[in-house]
Amino acid sequence: MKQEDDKLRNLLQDVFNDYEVTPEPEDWNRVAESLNKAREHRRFLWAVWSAAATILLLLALYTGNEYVSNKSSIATTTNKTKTQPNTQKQFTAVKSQSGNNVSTKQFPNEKKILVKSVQEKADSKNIKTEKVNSDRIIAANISKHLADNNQQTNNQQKVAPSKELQVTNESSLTKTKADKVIDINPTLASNDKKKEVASEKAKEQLAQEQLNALKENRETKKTKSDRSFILSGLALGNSSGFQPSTSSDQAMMSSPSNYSQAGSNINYLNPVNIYDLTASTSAPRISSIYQNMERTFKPPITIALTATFSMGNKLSLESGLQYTNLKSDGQVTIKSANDVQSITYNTYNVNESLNYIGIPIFINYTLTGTKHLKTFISSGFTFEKGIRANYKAISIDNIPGALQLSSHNSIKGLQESFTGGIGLSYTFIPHFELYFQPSVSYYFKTNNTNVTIYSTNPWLINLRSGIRYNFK
Amino acid sequence: MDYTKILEGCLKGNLKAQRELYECFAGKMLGVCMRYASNREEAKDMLHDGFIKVFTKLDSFSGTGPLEAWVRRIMVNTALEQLRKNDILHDTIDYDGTTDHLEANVDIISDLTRNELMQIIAEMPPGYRTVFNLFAIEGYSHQEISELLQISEGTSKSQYSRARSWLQSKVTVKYNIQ
Repeated sequence: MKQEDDKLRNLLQDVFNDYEVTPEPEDWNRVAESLNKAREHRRFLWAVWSAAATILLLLALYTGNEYVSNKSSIATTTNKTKTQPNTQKQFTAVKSQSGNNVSTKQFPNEKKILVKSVQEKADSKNIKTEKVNSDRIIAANISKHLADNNQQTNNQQKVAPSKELQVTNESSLTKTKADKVIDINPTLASNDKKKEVASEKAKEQLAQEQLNALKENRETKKTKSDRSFILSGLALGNSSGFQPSTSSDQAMMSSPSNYSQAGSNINYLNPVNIYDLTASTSAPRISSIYQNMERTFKPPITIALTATFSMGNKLSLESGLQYTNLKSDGQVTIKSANDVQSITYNTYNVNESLNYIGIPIFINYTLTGTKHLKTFISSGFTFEKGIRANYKAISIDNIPGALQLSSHNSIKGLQESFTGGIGLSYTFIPHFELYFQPSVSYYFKTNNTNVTIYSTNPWLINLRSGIRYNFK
Repeated sequence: MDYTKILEGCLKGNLKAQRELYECFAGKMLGVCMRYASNREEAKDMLHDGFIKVFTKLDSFSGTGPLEAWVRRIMVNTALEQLRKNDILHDTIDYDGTTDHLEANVDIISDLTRNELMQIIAEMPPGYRTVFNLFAIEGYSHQEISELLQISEGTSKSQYSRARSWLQSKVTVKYNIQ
């Protein structure tokens, strides 16, 4: 039986091995037509994929630029520290959009103390201490003016001007809508307690006005997406290079009585000390201040080198190494002061750059594919470790000799994320694929102190792309 | 024959190269399809679909074996797919009863011409014909056939045995051989 089977098989295989049936010409035409259709279909699919990828890319960029723009809370210092309430109030000021600074100054003016509240950009004619150089000139003029006034008022001027009362010259006052005049009862000069009460009231009133102005300013900024900030009292930090920590000016500001005493002794006529805002030691401070600031995030950029391991049934495991760069832009305003109580604000454009190294672990499923092009869906986790955060700060006020500040710090914590997406890969040489994968990612919370696009917007649309090696 | 240049052209989607490859194998492959199909039109459909697969899957040809064997395998698979799609296989393959077997006389069959054999095979019930083609002509084992047709190995053996009996009876009747 077996032999008969083998004999029959051999016979039939010999007979049919080279058996041919001549096809008709139209048989090839049918095949050619189908091949052309398949080619057009592939082109159509490619066009659809390109369009979809472009749309998703633009969407990702759009969301990166618009949706992801963080509006961090703005630090206000009115009630921030009880140990230095007066100085905090005093330091409150507004940096207008145009970069013009409005500073507070004071000098006695007989029975009236003119209170100048916070002003907007339109008040550009008022006295400004925008730059350190101009500060020196203004401070010198004020000193001279103070000396003249003191001589004229003799002992009648017993009400020491409160440090919180911000005074401007009359010419600027008439041009300012927000200017207010507060009459102080001269009898207060003979009563220290009453004087202090009045001074406190005046301070509170001024502080309230300034707060209102700040709130208005903040609302305006929110609606206009303005990048500038209100920053007050930030120079009070102990580690700040901007801090006039030992200045007599700050000592005066800490207490009205101290100020009064200082005023009577005309201590503020001492040579003006300007605290250099461009000191290189200020750089580390920039990064910590920046964490509380409003900023605009740029879309994350991730470059990956990965390998895929086939698991059969169109499934593959992907892992490797990836580098991610997060950038953001914002501004910080730093306060400085000098011995004549001229408060100066300097605004910096800050560029933040965070660098991460990560390990993605993904499961991919191939949907369709040819030799070179494949479509796939993918999902998995990524574990990223922050390597370094770099900061560069450039003054927007063009201070002569101002240096670009730069600093860096470490990034704490492990950033974990889950990603899912659909992708397209192109095999450009055997085993090596270039892939593009529009994805949606969720970034889990970490103990990282840096405010990042991940912490403010955990859900992100992104475009994963890179080169990966295919183990078959 | 060296198919390297033709293959390169085909991989680039060159229609001329594809035609050359088609012309190299179309005759033999139509012969293969004719053995599985009930008529020429059905065989031409199989040939068409088979060559489309050849051109679209050419990148998976490893080059380790003969190209003709690879193309033939694709044609056989396409033919089976077509038969399965048309539900032709089940009618006869599902039948697994026992019958009296007539063993085919190899000497008698060897006296038949190729065209006579082709005609007899074409007249076979599709189930018999398919297993007979796969086992006796293509050289597949019953285990391989069982996997290809998703039937048991026993069914494959049984079908082949019936096909041989059917062939013997057909030859006997047709050519009046005792």
